[in-house]
Amino acid sequence: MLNKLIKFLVVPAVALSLSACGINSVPTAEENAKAKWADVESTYQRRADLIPNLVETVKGFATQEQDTLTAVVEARAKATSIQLSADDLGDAAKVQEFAAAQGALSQGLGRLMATVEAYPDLKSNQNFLALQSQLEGTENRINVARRDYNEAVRQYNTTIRTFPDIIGAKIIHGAKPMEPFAATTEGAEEAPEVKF
Amino acid sequence: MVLSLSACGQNVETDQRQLADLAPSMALTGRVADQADLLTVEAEKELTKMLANLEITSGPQFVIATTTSLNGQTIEDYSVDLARAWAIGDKRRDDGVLLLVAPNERKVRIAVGYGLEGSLSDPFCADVIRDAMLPAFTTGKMEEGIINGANRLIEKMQRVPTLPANDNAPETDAQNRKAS
Repeated sequence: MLNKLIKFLVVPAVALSLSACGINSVPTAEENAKAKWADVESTYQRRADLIPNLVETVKGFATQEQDTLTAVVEARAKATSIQLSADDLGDAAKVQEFAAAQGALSQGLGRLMATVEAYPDLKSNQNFLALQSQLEGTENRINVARRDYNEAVRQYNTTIRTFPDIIGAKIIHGAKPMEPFAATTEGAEEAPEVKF
Repeated sequence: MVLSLSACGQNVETDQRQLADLAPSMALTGRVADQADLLTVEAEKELTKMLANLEITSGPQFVIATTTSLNGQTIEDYSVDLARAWAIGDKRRDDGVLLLVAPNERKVRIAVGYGLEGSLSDPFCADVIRDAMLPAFTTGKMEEGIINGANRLIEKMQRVPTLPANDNAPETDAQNRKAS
């Protein structure tokens, strides 16, 4: 009778404390950060997808800007060749490499959009205006996705370093901290704003 | 038991911090939150009616806000933070849209939920700001600019509703009907 009673009490207590040891919270936080990373990657991909059209459109008007255009095409090729799998998110060097390649592309695009000022026909071209707004919108989506990812990483890193989740994180999951994503060229990604 | 108690305590703490991060910098006083006082009472009423009608007939939740200050943030960040803090739009459809005007910083922005990108694309929104809003704003006609912009956005969203076909009832009602 007493035995039964003890079992009755101990089983839920063990279950409770296990669930408090990070059995669930660690993988949940990890999956969340990985999902947010997928958003970061897809927004960068979205930007890369805009570039061929943008380059073609600018080429037709800005005949003097061959070097700037070539730089953008090359930076895009480099940036899209570097893929970062979700399992590499704890590898500072790989994350840095990805960030640097995307940062270089941001800079190239920034320079290209600055040269456009010299071509009034291009600036008023409907196709260009549409691409410009898509590029600006996508730069903003990248910023938001990056911010969300960094917040998810912060939560995950806090979870695996804080008692009691650290128990499950160390013993069962072998969880390693993830790297936040720092923009290497902060200013270059700021889209020009609409002022009135 | 000590373990599970401390776990509970910790979770509460994190939740509170997240709520503090999300605290909106201005109050959601209605579908039209005119903090910078750019609209007349009549215009505010008329717009509120149009926005309510849009949500009922087509689905998207559209909020118009004017702010006296962006608190040093970019309007992009400010508008996304505000739209999230206010939880504009249906959570599943992600069809909220925020038209934000900051007269003191001279900035305007249309923040669009991912679920509305089909109808309110970047080029379309840029076009609305450039053609329907800026001409009025630059001559100081703030109300006219806001109404022009709102009209263009509403018209587009009505043509491309986010509500499932043949289901014009608000979601909660539909669920209640199924439950009963």
